[in-house]
Amino acid sequence: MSLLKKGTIKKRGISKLLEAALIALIAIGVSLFLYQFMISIFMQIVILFKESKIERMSVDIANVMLSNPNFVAYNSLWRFSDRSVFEESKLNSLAHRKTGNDPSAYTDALHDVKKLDIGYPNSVTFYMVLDLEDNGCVKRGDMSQCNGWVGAFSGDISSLQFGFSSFVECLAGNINPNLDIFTSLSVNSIRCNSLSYGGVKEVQIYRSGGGLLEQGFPILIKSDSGLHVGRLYTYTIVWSWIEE
Amino acid sequence: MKGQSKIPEIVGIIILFAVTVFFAAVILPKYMENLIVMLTYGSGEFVSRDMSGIITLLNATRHSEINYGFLSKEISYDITIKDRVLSVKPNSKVSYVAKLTGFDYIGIEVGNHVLNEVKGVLSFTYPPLKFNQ
Repeated sequence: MSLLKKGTIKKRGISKLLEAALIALIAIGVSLFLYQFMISIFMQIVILFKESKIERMSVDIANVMLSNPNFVAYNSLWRFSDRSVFEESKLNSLAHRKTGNDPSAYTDALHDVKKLDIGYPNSVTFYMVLDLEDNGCVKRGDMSQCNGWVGAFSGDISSLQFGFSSFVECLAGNINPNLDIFTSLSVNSIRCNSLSYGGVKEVQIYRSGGGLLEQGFPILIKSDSGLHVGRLYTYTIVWSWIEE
Repeated sequence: MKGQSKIPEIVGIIILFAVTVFFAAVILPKYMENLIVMLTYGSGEFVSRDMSGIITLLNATRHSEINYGFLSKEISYDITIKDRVLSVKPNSKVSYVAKLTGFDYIGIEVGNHVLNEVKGVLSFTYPPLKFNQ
């Protein structure tokens, strides 16, 4: 009898131990899941904040472009600029001509980041000027087929521990060459062998891309043939990196 | 005799109640409001974002001067502009608020500056424009 009792008690002890272990495992699993969930939510919020900040930067720099003498007609005597009236000759010298859907202008602009008197430090601002009256693209209902110009500029690039040219190469390798940079650069991080030489594992990219910028800014383009209605789009990217 | 000894107790309870109500209704909301302002609108991150945006937009307007008034009188700021990077360091008695420094990028060339605050208003005058002709 006593042996039977002892066996029953032992079984009960084991079952209680298993029960406790199971509860502990479930508790650990739930805690890990909650931790992961909170981290992912937190990261999403951080990225949203960063993107909204860069969105503001893009809107601000677009506003600056609208009255900057590098792009618009400017009277140096009166220090008066024709706000929103872009000059074709200035665009030809600063940006790359875009013909219809040909994506080569985007990659050309990526490899030719100008340093102007405007531009945020440690970031690149891409811009696209579309001529809405040039080849009847608006009537056909496809704005992407409009002719125009694509360019890029930046301020001082100082905080890179890898060369800016290798970063641009890496960026170019991560975008779809058949699409424009405004839509194809949808990644949040890029990895390249060229950057790993500088001890960089991964480059995080934060970019603007909200609804306001998709609409663009209405402008006029002053050319020899007269004034054309156009649209200006800006797109700023800022980066940070993770070391190996 | 018994009734007399209870009077100070009742007065004490009333005073305690009045102090608690005063603290909860007047002092605590003011303190909380100040703290919330210091952690949000008054934080270095917020001020740097605002200031850098407004300074960048100066290039797109005909105005050459901005006066930025701060919401909280409890904080003053050390603001420096160097190489188009605007850094804001709040000075506050609350140590956590003082740690909430911020920086942001300016999109135009304005030179290097240390901005001084006068009576809660920070003035910035845009230097003469230099354009590439």
